[in-house]
Amino acid sequence: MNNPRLVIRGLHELYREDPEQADRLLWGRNDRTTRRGFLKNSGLLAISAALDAAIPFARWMPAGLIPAALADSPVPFRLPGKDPGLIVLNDRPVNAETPPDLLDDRITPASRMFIRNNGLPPETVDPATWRLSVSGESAASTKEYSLQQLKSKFKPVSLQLVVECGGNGRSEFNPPAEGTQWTQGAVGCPLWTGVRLKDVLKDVGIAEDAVYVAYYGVDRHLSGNADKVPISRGFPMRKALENETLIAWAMNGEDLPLVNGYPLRLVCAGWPGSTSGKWLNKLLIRDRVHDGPEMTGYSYRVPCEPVAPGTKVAEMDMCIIESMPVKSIITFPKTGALLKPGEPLPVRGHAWSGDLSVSAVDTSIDFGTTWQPCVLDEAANRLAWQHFSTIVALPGRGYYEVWARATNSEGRMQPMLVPGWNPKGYLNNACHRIAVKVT
Amino acid sequence: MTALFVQCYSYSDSAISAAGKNPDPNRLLKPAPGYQIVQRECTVCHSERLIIQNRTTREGWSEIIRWMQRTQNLREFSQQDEKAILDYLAENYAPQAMGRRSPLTIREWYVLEP
Repeated sequence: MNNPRLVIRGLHELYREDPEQADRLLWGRNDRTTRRGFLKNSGLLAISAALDAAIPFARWMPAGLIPAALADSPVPFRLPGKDPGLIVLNDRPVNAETPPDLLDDRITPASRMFIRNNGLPPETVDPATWRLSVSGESAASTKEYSLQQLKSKFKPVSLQLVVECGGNGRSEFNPPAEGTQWTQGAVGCPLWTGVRLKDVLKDVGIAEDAVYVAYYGVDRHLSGNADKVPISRGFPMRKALENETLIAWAMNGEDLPLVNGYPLRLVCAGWPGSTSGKWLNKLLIRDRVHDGPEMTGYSYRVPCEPVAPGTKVAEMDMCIIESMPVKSIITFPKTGALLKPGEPLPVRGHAWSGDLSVSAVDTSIDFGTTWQPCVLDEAANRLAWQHFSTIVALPGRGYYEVWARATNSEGRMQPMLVPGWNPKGYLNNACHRIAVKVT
Repeated sequence: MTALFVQCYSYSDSAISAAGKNPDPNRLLKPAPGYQIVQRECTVCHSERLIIQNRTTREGWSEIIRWMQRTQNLREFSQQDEKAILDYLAENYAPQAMGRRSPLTIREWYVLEP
């Protein structure tokens, strides 16, 4: 976000200055307006999640009281299992992105995987009783699997796969697009372990008229209405039957983090992250395009034909986003680097392209006037991101921007400007830029 | 900066300085007339942070409210309440002029260790 008034502060600092304000900022806790006791339900959930434990008497915990377990801990506060450098964009539901320099690992650690929630994650999960049901108009049977059955009945696979929020980069659209104002960091490429979705679907049996696979999870709607589903999306059969579309239970060899879908989720690599349903407990094989919440209207859709910025688009003229566009991110150095004259500047990062691969990455230090090719590695497997690196020579003192531009296997390049405006601000794949100065 | 980084906003609005002290520390919303009703009605479901990071016209805010009423269980407002909410949002969270790409903002310059 390019807001000059933006300030960034740590939790202890916030609590020291103004405990009640800190409560509001972090947990949405506001006993003055709540009608449900001292703590709003979701604030309570967020605190419990941070403590990794339920607080039985939390409803009577006064506003502004920093939970002792956090206040007394010598370890700085963090979202459970997450890097303290993550930027929290929204606390209810929790949405947090990873700054580009923290995405430098070739395999994204679980602690640096962004968080995008549409609803409230489950408070407790019992893996022993967890069931995944598969049914639907175009399912030849109805089946139910325990986690143990999934793990033993089907061949496990481990693949490094990109998951990127469809709204990554939304903050740059003008006129502004409504929603979480992601900058660059709603993307990651961890190693996922699970089974192929197609193996499970084939075990259930796929009718000839199957069109779409839809997911449901156990996350709850923000309004607190238990009958409302926060999100239920899916993808067409051709994507469901790909080797890289997984039902996953592990990230980098360990159980999924709770906020990233524990104990079970879909991984639909290269498509908007919202297709990779979390806390997965139900799949439908449908005979039509799925019509669950966030499938219809304007959600995860862009105008079928390009429109001028700010245009009103009729719902019937919006098309579902499928593969994400070609993109890259500079993960080293962090923006703001100061160099001495003559000092070479190593630059590196990752590039990816939805369902496709990346064939080249170039950098420019003169605002796109000239471009220099980078060394580009092969992907670890299909739909993993690819690493690029180069050494940039800066010609003299002054302010420079390093821009990175990926080209995909079909010859499509990242634009230097923010691409086609759309009502909800999806698919911004404009070149990532960092600032460096030679002094 | 010890830990979890939180984005928040600071204000120099005259409403604060005139009163000498922020009358309600319990908010992120700009302390302009009408913020109380926005705080009361909107934070039942989501954080103020979701409001303050968005900017749109009066019509845009109205559409967002209609969408929440249609799909997210938001209650119907009286005409008077709705006007107060829209007046506040349209005035305080209107679109800002920005180009097709803004200048980069650099939090801090640092010496790159070779």
